[in-house]
Amino acid sequence: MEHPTLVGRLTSLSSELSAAERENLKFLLSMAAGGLLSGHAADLPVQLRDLALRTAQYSLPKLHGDLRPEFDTGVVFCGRGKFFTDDDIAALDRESLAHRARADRFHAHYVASGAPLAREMSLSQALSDFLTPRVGPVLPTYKANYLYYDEPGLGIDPHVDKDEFSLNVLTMLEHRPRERTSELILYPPDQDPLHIHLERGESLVFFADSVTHQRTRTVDDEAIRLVSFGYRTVGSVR
Amino acid sequence: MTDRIPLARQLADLHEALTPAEQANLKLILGLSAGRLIPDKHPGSEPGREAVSEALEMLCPYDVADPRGVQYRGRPSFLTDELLAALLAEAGDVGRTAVPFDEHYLGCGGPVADRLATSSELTDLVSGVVSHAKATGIASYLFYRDAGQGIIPHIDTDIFSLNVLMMLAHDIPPEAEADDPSALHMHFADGSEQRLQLTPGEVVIFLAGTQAHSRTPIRAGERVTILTFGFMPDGAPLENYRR
Repeated sequence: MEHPTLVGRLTSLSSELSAAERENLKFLLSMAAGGLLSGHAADLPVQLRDLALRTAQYSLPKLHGDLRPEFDTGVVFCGRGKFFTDDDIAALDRESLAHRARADRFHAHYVASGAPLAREMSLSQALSDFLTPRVGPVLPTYKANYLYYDEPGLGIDPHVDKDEFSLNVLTMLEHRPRERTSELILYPPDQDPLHIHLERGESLVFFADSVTHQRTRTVDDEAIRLVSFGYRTVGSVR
Repeated sequence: MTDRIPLARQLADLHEALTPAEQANLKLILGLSAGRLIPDKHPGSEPGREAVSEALEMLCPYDVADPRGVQYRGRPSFLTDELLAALLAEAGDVGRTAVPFDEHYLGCGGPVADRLATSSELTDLVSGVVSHAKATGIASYLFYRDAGQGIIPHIDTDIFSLNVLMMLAHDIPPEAEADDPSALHMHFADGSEQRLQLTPGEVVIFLAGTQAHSRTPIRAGERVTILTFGFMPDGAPLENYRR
């Protein structure tokens, strides 16, 4: 399907912006996409809403110039990566539990930053070796966050991530009970939403700065713990 | 060192270069952004809120000294007690078949409201405040009846780019009098707000296509009945003004 012409105009505008302005424009577009996906502007004709949503969705990856030439869903990998051993996952799990008390609330979830083991692991050669053939050279942003959705009603509305989590390696440490309600959903343009259900130790590697995504709300007795590593691509092949 | 052109200005310039359909698309995107960013008090949202609010102000299609906030507030002389009573009675009829719409009920106009929508009295009132605005002829009754109903911050589509909002009735239960009852709010780029507690018969005119606004939720027993009239810039391309 042909892209809305406004996408080209926004792409051109983006090329003339400073990094901070581009980040701001990305924020505005992600807010618009998130608003539409959350049911805002429901009074408008569906064609207008679809056009605006597609414009925002197609523009977001293009704000990164030539770094996302073949952007499709934004997903690079989903599954159990060889870059983590069982011992790695167990160690991250322990550190996640240990850092829960110092996690700060950020909108509708809790975040613990700066944990030493997670930060060190985000710099691992195994991860770099895994990512480079898939997305080109990457730069770790030294951002490694433990995420907690362990009260009823926690989640994140549709959004895209900031530059420091441009490429996000998101790994599940725990999701209980077995009967799950909350899920991660990605909204690539002109495709059905992708519903991602990670098991313990599984990772989703995706361009979080380009594809709108959300975590739907937890219910009573549901708890989720994740660890998220941030990277920037230098010259991407996807 | 050369001063950079602010992002808001660049977005406004981009808007100038677009076709009418693209302009409507960009305007919708900015309006949606504003709707989510304006209530977001997180410090990280500030640059985005400022950029989108300023861009929308720049895109204001009306020539006014300041597009922000309310352009007029008062009870116009044409709104006699008899006319207000007739509009209230018509609202009562329309309200029985009003349909749920977002977080309120929407009813189309009726003969009294429709006649007022294109009347010389209303047109004169508007043109005395904002020049070159043309009545769309669209009048809508809005009803807030169920506890929790309100409207989150938003920007209206172009067909209501200038909004004449008339408060017809506001029933406030005695126990809610002391607290802040539901009110119309204007939201500004710096994060500040203006609260407007309208009394029946009061009219406000504001540039709803560029000025973010909301209505705070009503409580149990509270009811608000409003009549709105849409205006658009005189000579504006019609394709921008579809519903």
